[in-house]
Amino acid sequence: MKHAPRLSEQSHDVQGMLKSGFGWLKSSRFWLLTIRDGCEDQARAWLSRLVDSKLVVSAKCIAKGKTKPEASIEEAVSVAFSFAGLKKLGCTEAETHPFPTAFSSGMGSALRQDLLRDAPRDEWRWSDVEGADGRQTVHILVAQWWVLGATARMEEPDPAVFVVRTVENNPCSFADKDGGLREPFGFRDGLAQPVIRDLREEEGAALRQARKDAGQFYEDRVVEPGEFILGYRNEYDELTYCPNVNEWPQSGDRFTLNGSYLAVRQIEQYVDAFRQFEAANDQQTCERLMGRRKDGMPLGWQGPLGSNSAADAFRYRVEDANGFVCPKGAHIRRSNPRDSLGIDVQSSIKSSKLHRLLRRGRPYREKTEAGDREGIFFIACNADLERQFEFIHQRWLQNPRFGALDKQDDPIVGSQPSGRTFTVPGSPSGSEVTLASFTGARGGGYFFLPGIAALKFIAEGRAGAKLGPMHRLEAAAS
Amino acid sequence: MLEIVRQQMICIVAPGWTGGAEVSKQLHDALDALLDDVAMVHFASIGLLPALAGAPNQQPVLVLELAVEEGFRPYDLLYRLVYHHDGAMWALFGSMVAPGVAVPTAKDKQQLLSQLMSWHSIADGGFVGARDRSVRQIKMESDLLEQTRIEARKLKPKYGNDRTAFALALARWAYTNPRFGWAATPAPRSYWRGKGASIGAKLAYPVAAIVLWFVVLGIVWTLPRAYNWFFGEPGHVGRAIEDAVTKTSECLLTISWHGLLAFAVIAFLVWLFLVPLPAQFVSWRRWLNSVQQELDRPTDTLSSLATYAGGWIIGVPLLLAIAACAIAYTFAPLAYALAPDYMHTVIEPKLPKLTGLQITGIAVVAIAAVLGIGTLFYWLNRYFTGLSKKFFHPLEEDVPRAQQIHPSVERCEADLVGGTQHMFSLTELRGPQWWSAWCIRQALRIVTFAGRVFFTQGWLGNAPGIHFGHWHIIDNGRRFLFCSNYDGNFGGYLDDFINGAAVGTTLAWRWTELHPRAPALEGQPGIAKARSFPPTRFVIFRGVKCELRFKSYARDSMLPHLYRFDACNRTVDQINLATGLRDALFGERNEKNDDLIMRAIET
Repeated sequence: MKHAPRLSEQSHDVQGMLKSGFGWLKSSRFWLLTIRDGCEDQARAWLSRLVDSKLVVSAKCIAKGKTKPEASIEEAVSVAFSFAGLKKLGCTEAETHPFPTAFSSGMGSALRQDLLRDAPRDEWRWSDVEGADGRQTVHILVAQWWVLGATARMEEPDPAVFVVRTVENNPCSFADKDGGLREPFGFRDGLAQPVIRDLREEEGAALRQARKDAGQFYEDRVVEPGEFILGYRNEYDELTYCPNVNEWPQSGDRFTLNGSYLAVRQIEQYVDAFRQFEAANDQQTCERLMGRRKDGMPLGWQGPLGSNSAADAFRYRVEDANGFVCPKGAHIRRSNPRDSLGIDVQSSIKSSKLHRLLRRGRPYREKTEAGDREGIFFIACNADLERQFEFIHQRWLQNPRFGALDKQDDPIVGSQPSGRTFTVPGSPSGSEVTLASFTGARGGGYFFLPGIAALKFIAEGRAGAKLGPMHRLEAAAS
Repeated sequence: MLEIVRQQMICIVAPGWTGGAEVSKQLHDALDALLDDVAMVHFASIGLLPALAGAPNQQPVLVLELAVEEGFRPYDLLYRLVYHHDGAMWALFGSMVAPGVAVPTAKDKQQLLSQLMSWHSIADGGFVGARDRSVRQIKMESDLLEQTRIEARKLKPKYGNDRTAFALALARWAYTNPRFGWAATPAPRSYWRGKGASIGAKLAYPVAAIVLWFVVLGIVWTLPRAYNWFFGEPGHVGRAIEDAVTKTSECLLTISWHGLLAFAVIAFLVWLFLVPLPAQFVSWRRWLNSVQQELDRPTDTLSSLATYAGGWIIGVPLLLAIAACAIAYTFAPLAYALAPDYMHTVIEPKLPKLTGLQITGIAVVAIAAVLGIGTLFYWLNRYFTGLSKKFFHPLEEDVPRAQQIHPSVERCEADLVGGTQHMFSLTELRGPQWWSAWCIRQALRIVTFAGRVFFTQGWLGNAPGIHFGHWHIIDNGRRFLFCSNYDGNFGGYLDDFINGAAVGTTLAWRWTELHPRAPALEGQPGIAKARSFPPTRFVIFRGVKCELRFKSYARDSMLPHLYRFDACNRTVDQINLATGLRDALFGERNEKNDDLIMRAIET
């Protein structure tokens, strides 16, 4: 009987973005790369140099010991691959442990368009599947974060090797005095993140303060690591399924151990439409659509601005069962219903922990001839695409029958055509507002974020086949 | 009572399908029109099962699943379908009954009806979520809800914030609207959802049965004496009869009392250990939770293996000993009646002679010991953290080919994404099949009974959103077919079962396995490798709690549908909301009803 790997002993192999959103690195760029035919070796060589540059930081490097990450990490990079990308780079899934169907079929497939209840994807510019007309097939996703104003060190991919598309940082994202992240509609973003047990970003005094601010609700956000990292115990108390590839040494840990899946969407936000809506209604109504105040605090919050931890310390069932404070159809109530959907508080919390996402996206801005376009480059880390991202998207966000609602999808990211309504419950009978379309997807895909040893294995091609289970540690440490 | 539920869910399992893997548009429309017209079918689906291994006819088996209103016998239902003027049933099954006959004669139709009756299988067990509601009722109540919302939009400016006046105005509007005259009669409810909804009413039945039993015994005991009182002293034969009746009834009476007492003591002990003790002592509560968690743990740990072994070494012998004591105590009067000398001279001297005080003392010591054990484990866990971490850390395990879904099954799910979802699952019974079939039927009786009597609000245990879920043992007890119509998506549906109805689901499915099978037709899923249901512990633990294995098992057992009919396309929540609004609009005006109306119109 052999014990499964312990996360505390494997954090050197886990990519840093699973532990931290790199909030102190306020510049970001997302590289969407397609490997040109015949350039696979050059692509691997570039990846190899990227890994050697030490920019792909591990979870172990972040906030360990007394040194704060702000002091030691000035630039960080994460690398993920679509199923098409893994194939392109020579990885073939093992017959005994294939990748999940959701990942291998790809977000860009027609089947998943229906399953995810997406609107027609005419305006998608890229996706993760081959053969979609007019869309770039992304093989590699590189997320890059660095200190605002500094010069990035990462070697840029060669356009002769890759078809390159970049999604650039929105310089206004951190412009507010409080230094918090804001999305283009002006709301604080990145709040209410799940806390991974055994891989907490906050430690020591910060952790104690977060616990104190959240009070009895702190445990609501603590989720088992297997919900986000492959190979560890999840909320079902079970080890998360680890697919494998044929080229990986077949003894010992699997290729995907310490990895995660990323559900990625480039979501354009129609800021003008939202501003018009805000002008026609009021800020309070806009906040009710979102389910939060613009400063990030819950709608029922009284008193001075609280901490991020306090902003996530609330439930619905007892204090707001009818949605008088936070409407039942509001964006944040749909994406995390907390204790509101089950038969009682405890079973609801337990159930909602099965459907959590670790969000690592950033606002973006792109300049076009028609003017600036803004939006969110949404990245959600999860270990079971079907149970987490797809469930949330299909059953909660896009479901017009969510809760007891009728013909109403998510007011912010809903895919129904404009002219839809949103109910604001209240005494005696609530009110209704008519919504425009506030967002539209411009691309999306599923990516696999490998552990660092697996990343080296991919970058080194078949040479990586020499890696054994004992080499995982050495490879990741080197 | 269970028959009423079982007859609502029928599968027609017809071997020898010669058509393709698709239902033609013409037949699709004809079936839609037929089912719409008969207006008693909530859901219908058609699927293809691979032929049974070893069957002479290796063509696929056509399954027509019908979920219908309460109160229809299968014959009445099939009669209406077969003799409907549009002939859709002949178009579907005709080639399997009389090949080449395009227009059936009366004799052909009679032959088809007989054949369908021979092919039909009522559910061996099932659950109906939105029960007591006819198709027509659901549609009319949905219309009432929709129209009330529209009317409310008109009235809102007038009534502003006066909730009572607003509700009154809507109620008046509904009352005076001739379109909703039907709604003035309260929505029908079966006994267990209506008068029998309280726990008191549910308990009254077993209590009444017990009392009745004792009354019957008393009457039987009294009869010979009454005879003597009327007709004087009996003769030899009469005295012998009186003696036999008296002894038998007294013996039965004593056995019944003993049995009742033993049951009451066991029930009290179960209650004591599961309710007041955990409420009073934290260590006991934690220990109890921990035992359940360890027995349910999907990935083995040293702690779960130790708990399992401990269960066999301590738990099972203890439970068997208690059961043996209860049985011995219950049937002791019979033994005394049959062999009094043996009992007095051989058995009695061997029994310990304990006073009531001693028995109480032993019980107190036992409870203290149990609490002490709980505290000890809690203390060990708390102060030996290193050891504890190792003890509770998962062991390596291999779950092959998890999270795989056949494209045809996924396509079906995508097609139904905006409505009620559906699944066909086909598994084989584990050997010996007669034993598995018997166990499944007992488990399904319990599930069906619990669903009928206790889970009356649309949830099976804690699992919501099930419209009609039913199980059939088919092919002479060799295969097990599960059909379900539910809200949500398949993964979420299974999550609900894992978290909300684990014991019932494990009990129903643990006797099955998957054998290799070829696809029914090209493009349909087959099974390459045999696999078992996820391992269980002590029959009811673990099983479906192994999410990866369970979902993988369920996914691999699934078959796509070729045709699907949903009469109402409403979620269980929407159906309940509409019925609630009807009751509130046409019920008495009070705070509760006013609030229900306000909440209903703002959805």
